[in-house]
Amino acid sequence: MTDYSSAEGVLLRSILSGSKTVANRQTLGPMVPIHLFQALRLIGMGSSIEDMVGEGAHALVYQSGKRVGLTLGRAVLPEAGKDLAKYLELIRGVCLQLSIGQLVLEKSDNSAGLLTLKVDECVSCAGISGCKAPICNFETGLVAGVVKVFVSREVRAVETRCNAVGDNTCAVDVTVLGS
Amino acid sequence: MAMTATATTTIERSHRLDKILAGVAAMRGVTAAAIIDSDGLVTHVRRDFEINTDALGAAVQIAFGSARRASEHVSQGQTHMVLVENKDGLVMLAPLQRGFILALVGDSSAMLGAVRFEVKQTVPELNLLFA
Repeated sequence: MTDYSSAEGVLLRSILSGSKTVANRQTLGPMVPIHLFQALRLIGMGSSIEDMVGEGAHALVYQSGKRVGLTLGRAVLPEAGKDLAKYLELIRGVCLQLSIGQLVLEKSDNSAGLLTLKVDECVSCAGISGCKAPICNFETGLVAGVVKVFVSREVRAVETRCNAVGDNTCAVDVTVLGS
Repeated sequence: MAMTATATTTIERSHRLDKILAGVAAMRGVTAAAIIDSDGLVTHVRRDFEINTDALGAAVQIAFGSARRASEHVSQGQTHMVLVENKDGLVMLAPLQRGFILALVGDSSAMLGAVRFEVKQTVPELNLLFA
């Protein structure tokens, strides 16, 4: 028996409040080593899940990231209105606050419904090398969720560059579906 | 010009997928038919009721992946279909090319044998569109 949904609510409220303190962490504080995060992400939500659900692991992690992206997007959209630059700046602020990475809009083609966003210093793959394929499904899903909220349309996001395969950054191509 | 041709092909393919799904969904007792990509995104769907498509898509990929992985542990080769029989109906999952999955939902009036036969017939037809 777990109660992840209650925990999720508390966590998201804490993130969106911008709080820099965490109860019950008086000595150790709010930060954890990136290697611990990467162990949870790449083993706990990666290879070990893949052992159990095979290719379903990809969808699980992607959709988890998308859910977070949807929540963050809905939280900042009222402040940004219809201004994409402002919207992404607010999202970038949350990503910096959480050390997810530095979100940068690299390319935008409204007529084709295409956006490319970079995630520099990505928390999932920084320092990881020698992989045969990109590994940042969580961040890809997060970007998908964020863009979906802004465009109010379903989107498809694909990671096209990744530190883990030697690209020195992560990049996500987002296609707005039905455009 | 090339982009126009590609766009036309994509639209045509989408129309054909919709038509195939409509045919399957018209079967007795079938209440939903969907195609899900490897990210868990529901790319095409025909349904008689509201579905949380994000949650469904991920669940389908995880359920199929788990069944396939369990089958690998008992060395039974490729997984062609996953069937979930429930109190009020059934869910049938069949793999397509490039990580896509066909998912069918039926209520208690659905004829298991007929749905299964239709899925077997439909998968090669869909795979031609994903090739």
